[in-house]
Amino acid sequence: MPDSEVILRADEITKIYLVGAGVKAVDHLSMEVGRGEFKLVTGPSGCGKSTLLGLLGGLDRPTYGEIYLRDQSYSELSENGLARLRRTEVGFVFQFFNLLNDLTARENVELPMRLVGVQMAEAGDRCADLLSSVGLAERMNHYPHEMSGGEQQRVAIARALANDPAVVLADEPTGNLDSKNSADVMDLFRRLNEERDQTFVVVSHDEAAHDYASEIVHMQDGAICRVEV
Amino acid sequence: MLWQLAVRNVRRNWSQTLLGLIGVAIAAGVMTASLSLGAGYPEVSHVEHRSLTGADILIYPGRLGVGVHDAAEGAGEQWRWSMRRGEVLSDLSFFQPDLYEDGYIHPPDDSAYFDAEALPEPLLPEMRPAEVADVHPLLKLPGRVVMDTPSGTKVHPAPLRARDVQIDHERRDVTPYVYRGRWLDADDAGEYVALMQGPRGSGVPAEGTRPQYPVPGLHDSVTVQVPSLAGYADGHPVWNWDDARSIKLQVIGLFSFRVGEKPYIDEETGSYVRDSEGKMEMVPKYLETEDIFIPEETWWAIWEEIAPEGTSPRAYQFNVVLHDMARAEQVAEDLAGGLPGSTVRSVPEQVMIGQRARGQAGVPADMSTVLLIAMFLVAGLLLVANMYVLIMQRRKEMAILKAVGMSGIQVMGLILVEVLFIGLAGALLGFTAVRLVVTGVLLVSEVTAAEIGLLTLQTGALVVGSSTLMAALFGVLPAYLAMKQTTMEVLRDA
Repeated sequence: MPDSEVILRADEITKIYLVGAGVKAVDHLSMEVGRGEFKLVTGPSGCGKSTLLGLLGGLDRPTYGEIYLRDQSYSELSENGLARLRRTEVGFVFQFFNLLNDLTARENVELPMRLVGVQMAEAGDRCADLLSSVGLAERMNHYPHEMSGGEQQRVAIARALANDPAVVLADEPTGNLDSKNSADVMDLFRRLNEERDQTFVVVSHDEAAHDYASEIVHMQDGAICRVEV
Repeated sequence: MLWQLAVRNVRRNWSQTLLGLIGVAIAAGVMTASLSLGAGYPEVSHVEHRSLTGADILIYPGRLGVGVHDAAEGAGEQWRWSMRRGEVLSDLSFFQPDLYEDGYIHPPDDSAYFDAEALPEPLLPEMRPAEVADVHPLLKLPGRVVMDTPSGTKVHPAPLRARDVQIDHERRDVTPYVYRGRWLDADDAGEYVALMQGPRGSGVPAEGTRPQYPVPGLHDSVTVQVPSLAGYADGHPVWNWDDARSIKLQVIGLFSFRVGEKPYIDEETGSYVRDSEGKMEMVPKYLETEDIFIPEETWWAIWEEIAPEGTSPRAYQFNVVLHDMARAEQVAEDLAGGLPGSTVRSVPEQVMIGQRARGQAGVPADMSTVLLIAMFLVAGLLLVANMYVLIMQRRKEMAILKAVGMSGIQVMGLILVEVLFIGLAGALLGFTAVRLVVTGVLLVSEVTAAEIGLLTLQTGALVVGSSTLMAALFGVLPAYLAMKQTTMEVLRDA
């Protein structure tokens, strides 16, 4: 655990899905994420990694426990408040990129900026910078279907960074990429982490990802079973 | 941003939203047809009435109750007509021939007259609504046509009615209704010329129908006896037939106002006549009047001759002409507020009351409402089903929008805006298609282009507004479903 400001903290969170007798996807889990940290969450399929990421990002609410972003408790936020938090403080990257297929790369990246009220011109400039920083300056006006998987994922990363979030949460970001593209994406994460002091929480069971993390959290049955620093 | 996204989504998914769009278009089309041709504003059928009365709004002195049955019981405010046929001095007989026949169309009190030369305050030029173009009294004199026939001299009621040739020329296209000869024109001012009701269709008037006097030929000279005015007693004019003047008028035209069809009733059995297929036989229906139309200037010359000097004629009706007939209902309402002692009716309303009194309009009007509601329900359900399927297909998109920071309410708003666009597009499509047909019908009628334009705007606003509102209401359910989409599971799946 680096000696830095804690920006994201989960405190004894549990998530139970009401399916049949109830499925405990996350079980009394506590963790802290410091500013500039590159945390890797790993574990077998179904251990609750993605659920944890959804909870940390405010896409879902824990059944029990509390999550704080800086000092802001999620439970005190309304649905709109959580949405605002996702807009401004959290960036998501997914395995299947999840770009809007009818928007160009630039429009996909502009979308979160426009949601927080950034004017068109400013959004355009910032978007160009971001896409350049992920190596897609020449592909700004291309649609997702005109891009390779690696390129789409880099657009998704640029989108995640659109509003300069406190933390980027990536769910199996290399799970749908070949080894070269996987390495490129992870290199990009590391570069952003080092150059911009960007905080990352990456869920992956890719062994290669271990080399990039400052801390590796191993999960089993919804709980943390081991932490490697 | 929401709007841009919604427009893009509608454009992208247009083929999938087509079903909902068609549903709204059909509902809007039915509503347009209903408003245009049904109980809304049957303009075409009013044209003849407006031309014949020379007015868009009629103002009667006193409170007018309408209803054959109430009148028969002599209840309340009903009027008892005590004058002889042919002396009815208002246009009520055009609209309510049953009341006219039964004799219930005259107010019993003295206040039931207007001074023809003194307009009530709300009708003064500086006081009246801006839409009013002209106000003029209905000027009539009792008269009798005297005709020599092979069986002897016949005398028939024939009131002399003044027509403002200028207004007719400027605002009323009455020419199509002149069966033979021509309508009055500006050169006829002060001339002793007349228009009379001519034979209907190609034949002579049937026995027992008005006018009961033999129809003169074109350019014939007719003699009309007009009584002198002895004075007023309790406000009522006292006519002296012993001191009647004989006025010779040259017939310059014969008119015939056809206002549709009516079932043919066998006079012997009193029942409807049906053909071999059981279909009701219909006969043309005409506006009937014994009035002889003469230029207003001529009418005043006759008045000078028969009335004591300085006497002002009484009017049983003021005629209001509008710049724009489409506003008749609203202006009538405004005027009624300013004339609490009088009865103010627009010609369309008067026609409708007349039709209702004869049981001609009620059922179709009710059916059209039921049909309309059913259409809107079907269209709404189509839209809901269509949007539901679409949202199920777009679950991932909703989840992405939430992940990048849209709130559930914003996602709901996005879907509602999309539904609004579909509703708007469907409404415009349905309205435009039907309204084009209706406008074609109106164009060949006497309705002016300005009136068609305004009516189109009014109907358009109503149809498009209510269809879009309907779409929005029915869109709430799919929008709510979109808002409730679970996010993380959807985003994790390919």
